[in-house]
Amino acid sequence: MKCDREKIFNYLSDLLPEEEKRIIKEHLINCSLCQKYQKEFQLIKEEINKKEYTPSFSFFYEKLQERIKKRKKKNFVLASTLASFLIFIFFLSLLFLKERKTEIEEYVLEENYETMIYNLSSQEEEKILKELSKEIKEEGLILLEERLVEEKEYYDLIFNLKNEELEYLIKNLNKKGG
Amino acid sequence: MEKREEEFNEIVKMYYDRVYNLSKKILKDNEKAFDATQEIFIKVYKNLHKFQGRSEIFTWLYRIAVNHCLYLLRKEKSKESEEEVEWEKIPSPIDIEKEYENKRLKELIEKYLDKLAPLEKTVFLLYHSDGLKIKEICEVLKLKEGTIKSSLFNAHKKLARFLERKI
Repeated sequence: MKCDREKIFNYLSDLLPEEEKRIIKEHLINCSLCQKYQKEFQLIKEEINKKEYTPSFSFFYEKLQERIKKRKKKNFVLASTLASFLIFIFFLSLLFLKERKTEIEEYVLEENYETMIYNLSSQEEEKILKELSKEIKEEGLILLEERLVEEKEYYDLIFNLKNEELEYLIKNLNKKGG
Repeated sequence: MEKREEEFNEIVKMYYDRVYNLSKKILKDNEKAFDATQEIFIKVYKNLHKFQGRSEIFTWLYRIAVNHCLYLLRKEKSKESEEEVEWEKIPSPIDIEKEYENKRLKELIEKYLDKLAPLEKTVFLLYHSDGLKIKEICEVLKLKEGTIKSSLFNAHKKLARFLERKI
């Protein structure tokens, strides 16, 4: 066998197949050069395994706890800031909605419908139209009832009603047991 | 919460020494190793609830430690300029026994470890210094046995060449 430093290192690290290990083992008995390689590898391993100075555990642990506490505090501050921000946004939007409602009510009181419609968002427009049509329907119902009861103009009335109005009227009259 | 704290304290007590020494060997600096060890344990604290006990706790801890040290090493390497470390000429080849007698072996080994790629260095240290088995290193580094073995073969090849003053 040819003397090979690298192979000796692999042998000493138990990385070789059995057959090769056996050959090297036998070779090592009589080869002073390979024995030198063996010795140097052992010295290197010994050196890297030397226990070096380690800072005391209590000092390390104290510092570690400080850092963990700091981290927890930082996380807490972060979470509180986020929560406060969200609460602030929530109240701000409530305030905005309230103001907006007052603004729309003022438009209605002043009968300034044109400006109001111009200033409404599509969602607001839809909501207000729904409410208005409810009011109109209710008013219409009272009028219809009056005409039905007092004027008894059934024929004209029914003839002039839209399908939708007729359905609404029948539904409400039924409810009232009419 | 208290159980988690207790468990964490046990882990710190049990593995502080090993993690610190491993960090020091990889990073070659006391202060950096101390800081790195703290950061490693903070990561452990943060992720302890994720540890599902599928592997040994030390494998999981070593994985965090090695990854963190390799990350620091990469960061350091990218900062470093390409300047070659100047070191005095030693008559070739290196006589380890003589260097050992002159108490220069530690310095020499550090120079050798510098010649290795980060993975080769880590595998070399985990195997020869921490005494981990090949399978354990596979679990720690999440790499195949072949990759670990070839890193070790490479490290030994470089060691032989280093001692012959060929690198």
